[in-house]
Amino acid sequence: MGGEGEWPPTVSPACGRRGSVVRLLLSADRIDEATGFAVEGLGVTVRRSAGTERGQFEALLSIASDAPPGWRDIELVLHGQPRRLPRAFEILEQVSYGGYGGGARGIGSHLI
Amino acid sequence: MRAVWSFWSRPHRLFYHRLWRSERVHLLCWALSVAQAARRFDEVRLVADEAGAALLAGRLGLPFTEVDTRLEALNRDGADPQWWVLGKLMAYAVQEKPFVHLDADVILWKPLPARLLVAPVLAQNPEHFDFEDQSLYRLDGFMGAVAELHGWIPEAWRRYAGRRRNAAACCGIFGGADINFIGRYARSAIDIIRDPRNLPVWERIGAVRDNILVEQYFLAACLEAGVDGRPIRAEHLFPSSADAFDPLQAERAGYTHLIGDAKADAEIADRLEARVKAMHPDLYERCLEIVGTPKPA
Repeated sequence: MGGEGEWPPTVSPACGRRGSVVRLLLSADRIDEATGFAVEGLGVTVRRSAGTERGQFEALLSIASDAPPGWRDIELVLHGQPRRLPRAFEILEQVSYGGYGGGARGIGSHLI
Repeated sequence: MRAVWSFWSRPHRLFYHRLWRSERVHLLCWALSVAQAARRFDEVRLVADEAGAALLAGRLGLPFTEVDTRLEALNRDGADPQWWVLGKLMAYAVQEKPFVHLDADVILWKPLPARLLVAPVLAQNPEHFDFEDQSLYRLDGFMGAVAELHGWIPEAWRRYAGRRRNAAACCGIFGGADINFIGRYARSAIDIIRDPRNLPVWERIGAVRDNILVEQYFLAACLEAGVDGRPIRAEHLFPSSADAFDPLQAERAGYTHLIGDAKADAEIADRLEARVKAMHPDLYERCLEIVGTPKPA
């Protein structure tokens, strides 16, 4: 169980969107052993990492509305080695919708 | 012109409350949105389900002049609550006179310009997506699934997408004087979502429902298709997304839209709370009665 040849994790087509906040769920052998969650490229930040449980890794990601096309290039650190996730991954839940979020302060919020 | 808000409470309760920093902020924003607009419009209507109406018009006591609970039909029919836009579309469809629908995170600090109040169709701003990265409007995935799984879309959508149009209309505010056109558009949009032929299409393209593709992209398609072959020109509060997000332009328009992550911003939430407390102390007190006392300093 858990040979490195079994990487990448089990995933389904991506449905994350620029400007949204998504809850990301990854399922993979030995993913419980992941030691960190790194983001490569501009526009994606980890809001909250819920860590791993029962062979799944969960994190909350903010995807900036102006994230460049390569924003899906995300790395998970496993055994100290960064692993590039496939560009498709499973979004467990779209926490924020629309293409306007990801750290944006909305329109005219300074007027409040 | 009538001001309209919609609140289908079930999607909010199940999913979309997470967009807001807290339920208190959600209610405070409702209070400011309705109270500010009520100064500008004689008719202030809420279209909601029964629970939504009981909360906003009942416990919170927002100053609606009319409350319509037709969205309860969505609950009775078991409508998919991830399609939050169904509540908005139904509210658009049932208006029988010129109106402007405001999202609950929209606050009008000034009257809307006269050119919008007399327009056949009005919206917040036109916006464009990039075919190279369809992370917001996932048009190609949808069209591919429609073709492969024999889904259904109206001819206006088929032609618009066939021309590779990438324009949509952001609907933070939406409405107009041509209620016949708006009613046809809204009913067609509801049909797209609920047509049984499209259920496998939605499943194919993912658990995240393409609410704005149906509301905002299809609206642009209907505007281009127009009536009797003549396109309808919508009036927009801002000429582009860039203008809308420009603080100076927003200030000139007197317009706030807590779009996207702004709903969860701590500093905005604090100012919102202070503003409602100062301007509408009765509403502020009722918000606190519903959700609890202010957080400690």
